[in-house]
Amino acid sequence: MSIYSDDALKLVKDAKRTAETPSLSPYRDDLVRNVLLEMRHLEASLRDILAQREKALPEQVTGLTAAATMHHLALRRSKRCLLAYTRHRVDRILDTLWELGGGSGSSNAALPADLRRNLSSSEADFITGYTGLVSEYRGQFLEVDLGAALVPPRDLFVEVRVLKDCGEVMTENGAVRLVKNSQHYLRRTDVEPFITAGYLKHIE
Amino acid sequence: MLTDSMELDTDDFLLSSDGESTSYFNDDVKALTQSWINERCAPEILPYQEHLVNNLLEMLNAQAENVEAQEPNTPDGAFLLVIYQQEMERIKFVIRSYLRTRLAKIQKYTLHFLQEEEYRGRLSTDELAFAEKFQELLERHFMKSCLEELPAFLQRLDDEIGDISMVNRPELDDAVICRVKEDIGAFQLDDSDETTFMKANNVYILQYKAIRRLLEDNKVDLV
Repeated sequence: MSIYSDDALKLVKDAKRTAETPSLSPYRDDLVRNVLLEMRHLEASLRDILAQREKALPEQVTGLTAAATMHHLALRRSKRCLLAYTRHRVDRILDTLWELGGGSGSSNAALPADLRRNLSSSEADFITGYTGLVSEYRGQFLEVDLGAALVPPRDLFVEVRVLKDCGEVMTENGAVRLVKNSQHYLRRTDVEPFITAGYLKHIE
Repeated sequence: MLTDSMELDTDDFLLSSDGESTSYFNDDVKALTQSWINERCAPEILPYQEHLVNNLLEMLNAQAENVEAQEPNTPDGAFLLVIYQQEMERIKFVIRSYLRTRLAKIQKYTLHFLQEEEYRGRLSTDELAFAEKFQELLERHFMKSCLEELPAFLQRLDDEIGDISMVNRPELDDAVICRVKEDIGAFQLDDSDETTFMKANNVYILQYKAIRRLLEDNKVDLV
């Protein structure tokens, strides 16, 4: 076995290294498994040491106490690394969800494929629970649309170019056909969800 | 950058013919804008401005109906409608950003806010429900990701080792910039024996915890 807590440190480094990457990195299930395995070994030897200490000679007690403390601290450190890794990913996932418009009633299927691929199963469950929670809260404030972009509104109308066919879209002033490559001058609030989802591009 | 585009002094643009309700509307906009700035600058969560938010939402709905009912037949009338709608969008933005700022803090310090009575009281009913369910989701996720495989003595999420707690707390030592709203007189900053004479309209850079109570009493604004 490698040095204690080596893999735990790798997890933290992975989190730090990928903190600036545009999308979430793959879940390091292998490392997490290793750390958990190592922690089980550590715990077993901790119990051994404590048992020995019970019946040890007085001159051996100090050494065994030190060994027990070391094992205990190693366990705590690994736990901290595991949680830091998990929490770091949670924060990144939350950021991404809000960038996509607060996961507006969407399921995991609406997530970008490269994100979905890199999730652990527990993370996928977390997202499902979270989007449900957010849409519940948002329901109290439908008028202000909490999922909309947090950019101060400058213009009521914006010029947009269609990147992907959207078919017919209802706006406040009637239906508009959004065909690929066409340009339109439309109400910002009508088209913002499409801009966030990447169907339309806002032309400055 | 944000404040530049947020000219909310638009008294003349309101449709309401009733002078009294017009000024009432605008006071709320100003008050919420300041609450929003305070919320964005303060490291901890501030008391929820339920009254302001609800008033403004109500007013937005009334204004939306008002706008819909208008059928302008002159270019000027149509232009005015655009301005009304633009103003509504700006107010919606402030409310949205205010609520989202609070949600972000709740997500960051969930457990701490839930444990402290004072913070619980600062959240709206919906926010409190959000915080509780968010904490539940987090705990379940941590449990399933790793904790459930660990021995019981390592499964807690609120350990304290020495002085370091696992529970994330707002940094009350952070520096903030504040403007004094009324003469306060000699004011003692937390950790020093010196007193500072705080006069209306003076601007200070101080540790947040020093002016925390002044902010609560509405004697300073954060900027």
